[in-house]
Amino acid sequence: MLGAVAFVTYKEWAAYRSHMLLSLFVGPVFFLVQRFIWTAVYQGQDGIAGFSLSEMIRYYGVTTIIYYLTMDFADWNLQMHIRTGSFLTFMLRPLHHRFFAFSQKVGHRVLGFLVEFVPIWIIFAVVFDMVLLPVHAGWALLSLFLGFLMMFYLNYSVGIIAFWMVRTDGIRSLIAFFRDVLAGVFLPLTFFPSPVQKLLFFLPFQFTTYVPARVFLGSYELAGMKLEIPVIIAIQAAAVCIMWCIGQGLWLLGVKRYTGVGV
Amino acid sequence: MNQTLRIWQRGLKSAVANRIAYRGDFFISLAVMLLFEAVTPLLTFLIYGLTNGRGFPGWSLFEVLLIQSVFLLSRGISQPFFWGLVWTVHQQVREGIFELTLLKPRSEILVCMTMNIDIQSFGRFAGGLAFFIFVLSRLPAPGLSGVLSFLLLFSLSLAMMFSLALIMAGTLFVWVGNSRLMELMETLLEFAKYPGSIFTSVFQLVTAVVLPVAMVALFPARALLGRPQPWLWGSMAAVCCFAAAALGFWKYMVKKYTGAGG
Repeated sequence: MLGAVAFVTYKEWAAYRSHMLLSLFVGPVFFLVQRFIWTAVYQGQDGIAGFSLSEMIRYYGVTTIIYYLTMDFADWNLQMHIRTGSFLTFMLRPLHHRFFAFSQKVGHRVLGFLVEFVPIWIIFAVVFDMVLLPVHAGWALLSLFLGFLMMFYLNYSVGIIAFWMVRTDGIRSLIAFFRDVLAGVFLPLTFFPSPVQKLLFFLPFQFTTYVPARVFLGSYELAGMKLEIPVIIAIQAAAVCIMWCIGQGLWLLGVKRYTGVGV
Repeated sequence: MNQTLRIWQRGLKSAVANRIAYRGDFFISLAVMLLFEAVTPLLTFLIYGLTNGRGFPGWSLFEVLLIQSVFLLSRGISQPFFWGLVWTVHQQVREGIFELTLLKPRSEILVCMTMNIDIQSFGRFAGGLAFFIFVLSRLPAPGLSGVLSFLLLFSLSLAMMFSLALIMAGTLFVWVGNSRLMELMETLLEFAKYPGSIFTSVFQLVTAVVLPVAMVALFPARALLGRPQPWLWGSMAAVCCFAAAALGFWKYMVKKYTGAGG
């Protein structure tokens, strides 16, 4: 079932592959700007917040490509179905909507891997002379997969808000903003003040981007804690399970509120 | 002129009525928009804090923030007034109803702009203005010539933003329904938020005279700071050429539009 839905989603989105190809410009140019900024800032400085210039640049490179593997819009999709009433059709199917949405994400990201991730990886290697290879390939793949799951469960839980609210654009944008800032998309989390870092350790956001990026780069540090890679991945796996439970709880509460007319 | 103002007035009324129907969502969206806009200045604060005030070589914290506040001001004006053009074309071309706009006895640019006024972006303008005044108060007061140069260059900044909107909207006639074009513009504008000196000389030249995004904030801010303005005249000419090319491109794309009845 997962393969079938993923394949159909892949075919559907492949029709708009030129839209996805925009990433080949957007990703590298955004990275280029970051490179300019940090090269200027690091002039005369060996390290800032535990990052040397080359580590900083690699961090931005890795977070850029990780985004193309883990991103999804499960929240937008779910709220759209709830708001328009088309969610009713999913209630009648012998398949949980979450599994359907997850399968869609798999199909969408397989296409993203081919159309966005691979070309951008090559652009980084050829244009920026930055070959992004993980220090521990196995752990990095596992962490990426967990980041993929975490991003999905997080976004899906946000989409569930639509059971309570008619318009969720604002609240979804608000959560997406904090998700990105607190996941280390704009800045490595070690740049935040120490008390904030301690708080961030217990929030789910770091597990979508910061943890996979640090595992990819071969070391993990936050709030003054340096953890071994297997340890942080075990924590990441536990966080994914907790997020699933939260999502399931929200789902059970939300779906009781749903009413639809006509199929 | 009166009629144009009336069209704007109607567009504004309709946009307010439409958006205020979901007040909670509107205010949250407004807050999020301001938070997003605050990311660059906050990052700049953080950079200067972490480097003990060194930050970007040759630029003080408030000088960099001035560039970013001018950028916000320019966006705060262009977004509500010009960018409706992009969203209207995006929506109407996808649905095949753009001919309805062409049938109206007014400029299609004006009609498109007023059909999708983003009132939320007035918050961006208000925030940008407050930020601009705050930053300016922390810097030496500019002279009269600096203020006049700023006003001239800021009008060119708006012309640049309008030209970008025209090009994006024109592109949507062939790249139907591509909402990611906005991302493309956002990426290009990243070059407008920082001191030119952090870029290599090739990029400084490109952003000044080839794709003159430096005119959006860097040149007007430099005028207020009384700093030297390399490539100023070239950049001013480039913005004028860019605006003329954008208008020509828009007209060409409108002519190319084919619909099957709305």
